[in-house]
Amino acid sequence: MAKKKGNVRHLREVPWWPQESETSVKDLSDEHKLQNTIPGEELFKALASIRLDPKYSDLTIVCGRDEYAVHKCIVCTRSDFFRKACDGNFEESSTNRIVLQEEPALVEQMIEYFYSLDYQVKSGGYPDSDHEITDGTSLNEDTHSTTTAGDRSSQHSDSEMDPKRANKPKDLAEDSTISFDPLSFHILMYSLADRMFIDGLKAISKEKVRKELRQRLDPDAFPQAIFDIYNSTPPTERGLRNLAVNMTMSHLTELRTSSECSRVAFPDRLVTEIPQFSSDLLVAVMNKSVSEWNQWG
Amino acid sequence: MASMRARNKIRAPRRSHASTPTEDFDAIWKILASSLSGIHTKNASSLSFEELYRNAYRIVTMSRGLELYERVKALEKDWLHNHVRSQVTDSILPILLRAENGPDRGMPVQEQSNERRAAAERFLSVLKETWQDHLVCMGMITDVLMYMDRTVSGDRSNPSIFVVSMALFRDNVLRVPVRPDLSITVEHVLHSTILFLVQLERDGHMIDRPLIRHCVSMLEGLYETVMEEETSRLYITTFEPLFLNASQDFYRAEGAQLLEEGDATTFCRQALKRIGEEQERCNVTLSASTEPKINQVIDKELILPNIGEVVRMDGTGVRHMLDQKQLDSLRDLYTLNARVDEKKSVLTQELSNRIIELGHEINTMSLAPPPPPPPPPAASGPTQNGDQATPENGKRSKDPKKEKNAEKEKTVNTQTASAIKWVDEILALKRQIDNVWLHSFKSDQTLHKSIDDSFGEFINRNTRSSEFLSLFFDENLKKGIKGKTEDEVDTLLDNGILLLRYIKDKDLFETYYKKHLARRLLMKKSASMDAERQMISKMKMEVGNQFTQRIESMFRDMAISQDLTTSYKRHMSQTNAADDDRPDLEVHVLTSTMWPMDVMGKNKNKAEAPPCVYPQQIKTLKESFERFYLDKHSGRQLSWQAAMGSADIRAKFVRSNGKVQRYELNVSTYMMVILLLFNEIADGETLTFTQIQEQTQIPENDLIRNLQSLAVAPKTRVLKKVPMSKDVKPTDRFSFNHEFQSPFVKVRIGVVAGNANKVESRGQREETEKKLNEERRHIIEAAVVRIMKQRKRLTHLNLMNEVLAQLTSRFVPDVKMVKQRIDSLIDREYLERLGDEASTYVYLA
Repeated sequence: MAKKKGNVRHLREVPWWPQESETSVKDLSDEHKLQNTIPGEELFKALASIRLDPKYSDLTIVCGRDEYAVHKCIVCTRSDFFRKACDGNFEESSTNRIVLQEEPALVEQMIEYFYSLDYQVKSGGYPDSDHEITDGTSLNEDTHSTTTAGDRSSQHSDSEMDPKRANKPKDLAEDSTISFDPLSFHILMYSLADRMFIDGLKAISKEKVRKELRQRLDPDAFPQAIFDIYNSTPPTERGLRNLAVNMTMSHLTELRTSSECSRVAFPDRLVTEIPQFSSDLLVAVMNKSVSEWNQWG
Repeated sequence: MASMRARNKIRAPRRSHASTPTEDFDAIWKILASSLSGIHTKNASSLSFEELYRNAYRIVTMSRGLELYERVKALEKDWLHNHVRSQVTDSILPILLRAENGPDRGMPVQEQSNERRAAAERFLSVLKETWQDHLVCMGMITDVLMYMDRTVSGDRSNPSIFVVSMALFRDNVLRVPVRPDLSITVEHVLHSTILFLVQLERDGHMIDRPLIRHCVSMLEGLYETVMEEETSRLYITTFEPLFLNASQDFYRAEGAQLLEEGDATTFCRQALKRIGEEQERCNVTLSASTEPKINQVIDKELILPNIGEVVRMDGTGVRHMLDQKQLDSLRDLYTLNARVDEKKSVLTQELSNRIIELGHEINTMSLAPPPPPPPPPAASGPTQNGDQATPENGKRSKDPKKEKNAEKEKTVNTQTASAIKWVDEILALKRQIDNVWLHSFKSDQTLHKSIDDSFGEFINRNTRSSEFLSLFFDENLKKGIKGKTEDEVDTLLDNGILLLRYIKDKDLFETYYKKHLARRLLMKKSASMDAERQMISKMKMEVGNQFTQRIESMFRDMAISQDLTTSYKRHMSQTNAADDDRPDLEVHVLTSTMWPMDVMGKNKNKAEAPPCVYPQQIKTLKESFERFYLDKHSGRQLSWQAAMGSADIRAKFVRSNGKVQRYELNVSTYMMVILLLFNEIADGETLTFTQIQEQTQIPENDLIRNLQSLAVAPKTRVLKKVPMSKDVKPTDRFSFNHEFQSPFVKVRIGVVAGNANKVESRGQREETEKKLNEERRHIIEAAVVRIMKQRKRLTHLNLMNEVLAQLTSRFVPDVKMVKQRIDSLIDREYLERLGDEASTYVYLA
């Protein structure tokens, strides 16, 4: 319940939604209210208000220690995985509980996507993780310009009211001390969306990967991203693989050039370590060469 | 970059899902395989979808999706072959096989049908169960393997696991021998079983339709190939042809049997019932896609070969249905015929035959001498003139009585009556047929045309149809419409117009109509001028302007004459102030070309009848009017038609006791002339027929008839005749009858049989036809010249066509007559034949 309340407030801060603070409600005449009501906004508002509200919920998604009260009409219509889990004659259809063996932070943001058509890189929630806040803000400025810095701070205050969320840092603390790298987060979100058959989320996360990767063609992030991309999805899933190959091809010079203070972003060992990437890259190089030769006759 | 700081990353998802080469494919498969078997054994509710899905996904991420696909395929095949197949084959009892072995569908299955039916339903329910289980399980398995399907069959290189499992069902359950030692497959038994149940239903038994429907939908859900093209559904490739073949045999036999029964109504009802049944069968039991095909079978086997015979069926066919007004049966028949023949030719033909036949009966009845009361002489028609046959005596004895009744305007001449009866009967027949057309034939246009043609055919076969129809109008406009409302009159006239539509020789009708109209107008017999005018406008709408032009000009003459009479009266009162003795004159000035010739006093030889000698008083009046009229319209010629006129005269009868009785007599102009003669002679003196004829110059026929009215008719004997006989002979002597008695002061003395509009005698008709042909010759010539003037040059064929096209609204020209007219025009150098091409004409200006 507390979670729901916090979220409503959080979502309300998107500017074009009418303010419903105690003072302004009084001032608003009905006419004024009408003028400020846009039909699409009404639906968004409704979605925001039912998000994780157990009142109309008919399905529970469980992940780790988190439980999310969701709605089949929202979830099953967007994901073949959830639809089939609910419609088949399996255990889930009678219990209306779906237990996911996934990273809880990803699942939480997937559900965020179901209701708001977007997601954030999950913050670990540590008050002292300043870099994370900076990180999140910079990401938000890229992808979600409507979210303000105030948004961030309110999220922090939310976590105090949310017992589950408050628990989380302890879980994470078991194997790691801090939170997620955004690039890695987006890549894994893509993998989850692919597994869950959520096309919209796939598209969004792929776009986020592209933007983030473009910024991070450095010796730390790049090899790791390639590793993630080639290990998080089956070989037949070409979305991120093509993205990685294209990005590499178009920034090859930058990636292979070392500056005085750092190593090259694309070290030779990457070719040995991820043979599938090497093969994709080889095909791309050949195609490029052939087309160039043809062009020059 | 701020994020360049080192960090520990969490990659939990990769740890739980992403494959590591060491993960054991076989271990995961083992879990999956037992779960898939669990689905088949209906234990799915204890299985977690998420877990199965995750396992399948893991195998795919190991890049071993295709292997998984093949393993599942093998597992399904094994399941179907070892478990499902035996369930199905075990449910097939020997009785079903026996029927399959003996393909003799015609044998009486009744005694064993109950047993076989029970076996059939048992087999079908097992098959249905099996199929539904398979569908449900495969649906679930496909869901679990969703991710595998996307990688393995996403690029269409492999059929989806669901499609594969359907093909497996087809090959491992349906297309396997029932017993190892037999060649008959489950599929064969399924087909023969459904056909057997359908046959049971056709024989009137209840069957389990939903059960069959389930099995059929199985056949519809299975395909010959994994490409699953629409046309390769098993239902279409295997069952449907068998069903249609069986139906073909069935309906062929049923058709033969129904024909043998020989009742058209039963045939139609049964056929329509079958059509309805098959439609329902297709929609409820089999497949809706079969409906057009089974309809074709019924049309081809049951209806098409038999419909002709049914329509003509003796004593029950169309003829009988029409006579008995069996509208429902006729509708059934129509529906059936319309299915197989857009033109409905057999029905149309039979209907047309019957209409013409009935029409002929009406024609014959009207032309045959009507049976007594009137004795035979009267039946030949009281002649108007030129008929001096011997049975005069008997005839005359009847006529006076008629005149008597005519005062009450009741009796109608018997032949006129039969003419009106002819019209009425045709109208009744038309109504009857129209009713059938409306209710049974769905207002079909083809049939409408055929009905019209049939009516036209027999109506025009009656040579006197134009005359009869005109008499019908005449009778109704004189008396029939009295006391009727406007609507009724309208309907009555419309009915007449309806028949006019059928009459081909509209000019002949016009001739008669004008003749009858002239008498109505001049004798003031018309009951309502409104009705007359209404009639004209109706005719104008139906036949056209040209047709009514002359008739309208007759009305115009009447109106002008009325004005003329008034202005003449005013003129006389101004010039000769006090002359009370002067008779009033009411005059009708008729344009000679517009009015019928016999009204204009022209006889056969086209010579005008010599004017009779008027008494002085009348002569003065006549001359006075002529002066008045010619003063106004110089250059015109007036000729007086005494035969058409009438006069009111006051007569003084001095009784033997010296009393004086006055009567007002309404007589014809000729009678007036005759009676005035007796003013000139002393009381008691006599005049002979010859004397009267000499003094008046009245044509002999008219004189005889007028004298008969005055001296023979019992109620109007103003003159005495010696000898007192019915005949008038030249030697007869006449004298004024002072003892004349009548209960009324006003006495109307009609002329014997001369002014009533009646059926013409043969001679008159020939006369009319002759006149008509003459007129037609002119019309044809005019048309030929008109066309040639416009076209300058035409072939014979084209000219003929155009002439016919122009004239058919008035009459159907005789081709020979048209040829003669063309020749005549060539002789008179209006046209010439084009030099070497004898068949082309050129117009000569």
